[in-house]
Amino acid sequence: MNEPDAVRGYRAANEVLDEAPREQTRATILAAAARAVEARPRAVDRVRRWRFPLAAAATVLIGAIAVLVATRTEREADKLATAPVEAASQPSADIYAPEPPATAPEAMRSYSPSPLAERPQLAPPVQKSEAPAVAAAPAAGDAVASAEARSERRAAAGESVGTRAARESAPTASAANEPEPAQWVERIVALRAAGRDDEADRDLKRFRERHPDFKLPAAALRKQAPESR
Amino acid sequence: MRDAPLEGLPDEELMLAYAAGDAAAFARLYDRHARAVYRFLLRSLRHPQLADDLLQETWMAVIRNAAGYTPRARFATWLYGIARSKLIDHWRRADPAASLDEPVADDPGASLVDHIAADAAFQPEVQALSRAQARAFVDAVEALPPAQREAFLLHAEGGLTLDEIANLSQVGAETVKSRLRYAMSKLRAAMEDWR
Repeated sequence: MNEPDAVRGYRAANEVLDEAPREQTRATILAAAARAVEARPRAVDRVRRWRFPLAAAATVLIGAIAVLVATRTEREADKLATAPVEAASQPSADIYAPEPPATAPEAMRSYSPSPLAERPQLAPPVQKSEAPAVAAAPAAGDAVASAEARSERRAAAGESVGTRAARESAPTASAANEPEPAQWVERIVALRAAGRDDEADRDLKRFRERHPDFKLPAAALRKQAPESR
Repeated sequence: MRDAPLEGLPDEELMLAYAAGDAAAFARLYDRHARAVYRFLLRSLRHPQLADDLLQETWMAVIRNAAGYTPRARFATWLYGIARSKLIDHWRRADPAASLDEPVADDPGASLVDHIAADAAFQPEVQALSRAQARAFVDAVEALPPAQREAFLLHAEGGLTLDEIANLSQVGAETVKSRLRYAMSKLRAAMEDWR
């Protein structure tokens, strides 16, 4: 096909006029093109250079997070496990109270927020020496009354696990730290010797419920002589 | 030395070579097309500095898009498409209502070749064009209505076919044919003055 005359005329005019972009424009564009080519491999090198340090850092970070999570989980489990022990400690004052000791297991059940709490191995060791010390105190009856009142208030207020855990350090007696039968009997004898026969009777009643086969000394049974026959 | 093997390569292969990291291929492409694209912009803008700026923007866009370039169409079509976009962006910045489209009476029955076929009568004048005549002819091109001027320049500078121009301008091929016919007619009238 022949080139249209107008197009040929236009091209001829362009030849004559010889218009062109500035040389500076060419230099700018070619420099930008060269920079773009150089930048591409450099970006790859940068990724390659930092690949292993980044991988190592990511590994350390993930490991640290895993340890933190595991530690926190363990701590939470410990907290939960201490809750029933503390709960069980509330009726501990019942050693000196008129209510039957059967309330202790009930309290344990009501304070068990999770199955974890029922695992005895997670419970911290209790201090058995605290209960006899309280028992030997002259105002043992008052202590029992106030312990009962506290227990009721706490149960009513629905204390949180954290609050109960914070109270762990306070000296408390519990069903778990009941004295050995022999010590218990000695305590009853001591109460009778002090003339606190009503308290001795209550203590004796509980003792018998716990240890029905234990042979009691006469000093412990003085006022109960007709029963023992 | 390095340019020698690039000399005969088609535009599309040069562009792919540049995308693969060969800066010399880009220089070859630039030298092959820069003047024509510049004139396309200059005839549309009638402002050398603006034409230079838009030329730079056009080639910067080529550089930015090089990595994703795939030769689905001729490189020239792609390049002029970018230049046209830069031109439209410029006009929209200056006048948001600006448009290249204008109503043009169509004549589907007539062939474009019929209208723009070479006229032997003009041949000597074209060959013996003076600088003043060349300027007058270019002025006539620049004075064309925008849509006709664009169609003419894409054909005369970029070598784009009717279909390529239609695709680029997003109008029908018949519309492009009509625009070209009107443009050629006006330019022939301008050339009459040289006789």
